[in-house]
Amino acid sequence: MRRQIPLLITFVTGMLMIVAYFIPHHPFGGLRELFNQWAIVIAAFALILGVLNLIKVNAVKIQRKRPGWGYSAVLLIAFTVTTITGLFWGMDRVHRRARRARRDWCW
Amino acid sequence: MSHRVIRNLVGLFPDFGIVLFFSLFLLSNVSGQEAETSLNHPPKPPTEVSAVDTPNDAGGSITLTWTKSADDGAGENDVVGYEIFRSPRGEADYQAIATVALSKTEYVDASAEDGRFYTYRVAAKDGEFSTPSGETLPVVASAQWFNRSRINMLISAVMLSFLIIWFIEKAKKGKNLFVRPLAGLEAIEEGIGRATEMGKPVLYIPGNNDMDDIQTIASMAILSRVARTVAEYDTPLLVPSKMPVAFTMAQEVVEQAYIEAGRPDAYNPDNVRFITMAQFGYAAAVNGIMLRQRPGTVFFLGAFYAESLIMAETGASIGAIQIAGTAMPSQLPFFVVACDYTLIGEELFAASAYLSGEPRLLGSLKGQDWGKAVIMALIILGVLFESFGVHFLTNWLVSH
Repeated sequence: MRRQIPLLITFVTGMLMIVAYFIPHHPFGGLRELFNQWAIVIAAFALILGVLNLIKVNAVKIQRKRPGWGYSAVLLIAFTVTTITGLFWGMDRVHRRARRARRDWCW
Repeated sequence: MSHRVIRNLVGLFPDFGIVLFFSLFLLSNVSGQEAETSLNHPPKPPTEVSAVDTPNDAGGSITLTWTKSADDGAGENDVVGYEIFRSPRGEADYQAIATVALSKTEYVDASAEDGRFYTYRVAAKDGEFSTPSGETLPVVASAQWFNRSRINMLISAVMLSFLIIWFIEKAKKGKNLFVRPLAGLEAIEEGIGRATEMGKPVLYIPGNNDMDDIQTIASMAILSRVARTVAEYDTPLLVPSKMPVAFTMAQEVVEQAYIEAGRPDAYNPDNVRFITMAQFGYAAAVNGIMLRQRPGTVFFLGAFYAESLIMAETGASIGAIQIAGTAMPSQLPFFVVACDYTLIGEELFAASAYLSGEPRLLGSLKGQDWGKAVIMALIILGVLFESFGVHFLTNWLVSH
């Protein structure tokens, strides 16, 4: 079942996408947009998993003092500072300041 | 008024000259404005205004077309735009719903309700006047059950599906389906073997894009094969990922491959790691991994952009065997010069079938190849027909 259920979901989703491509009428017409929205939500959760993995891999490296653990420490410190500044001051402000400084190409 | 009289008046009243000058200036200006106003006529209205239900859509949309006003780009040439008016059938009042720029001859009203009749007028505007056209015939928006502009795609899909199923059935019956040797894929085992002999890890880069890119999907299929071989040889496999969904997919693929190879204990989840979504941050991290961990073999398989040469050059500098594969034409030259083997375009997509030799994948590959051959034949036919002035094939393909 571990293989069959994902295969079934993939098959049904693929068939629905094909049908939606040829039939614009409701409810098929809006399926593509709906699935795109779901994909954005899934990607957001995947990003959380990715960030957790990043923290775990580097934290373990520091804890066990593996070669190059200093780089991991720099990474985690930079990550924490970026997250805190992003959470409290927001990205809009950062982008506005960058535009004022005419350094848009940095991003 | 003679010059002498004016000179005498100026002599008597020194300020008179200034007053006279401004009076004449104002008079001439006012008379000029009057002349301009009297020349401006209302613009000619747009003609042949028609409204139809937008074809092949999900409803809620009506398309208007018209012929430009005679004063738009010609005549008085003072039209500044067009105003669209709409009235639900049964209501006398027209309401302005949009303004479009001059020279435009089409507007799509996406705010129409399905099943409700509307009539439209289009007015040409200059700076002062607005001249509406006549009323269109009543029109109603509705959704269609089939997109007729995609008939050729439906025929292609049915034809391709038939070819794929037919070749899969042939492969299942034991028919030998020939796939030409691909040096890059033949070298996979050699590369992994070399890394094993040297006691170094294997580095696998699944590209820059996420799972919505067919190149990343092809890369995951090859990763599965590489991971299985690596598990058998007991060599560490490092998979740094740039995209979060590709990262979770890579974790699943590698874990599954280790289980299938009978070595679930050898799987280290920390070796498949998420790096960053920033392109050059990712490239810097990969370069760091290469310089610190010195992999014996590096795979670059997937979609790549400007970071391709930065990473491939670093890999070459540490003396790793490098096998690259991408369908990005702009990056192929860099991989060709910096890597030992390069899978070019379609070879990347053929890799999973080539490596596994499974009848389903081989049949699918053959079916797709024949589908491409049919498309190429159609292109050649189209060129020949067009060269001899026969347009039916091109017209049909474009309109359906």
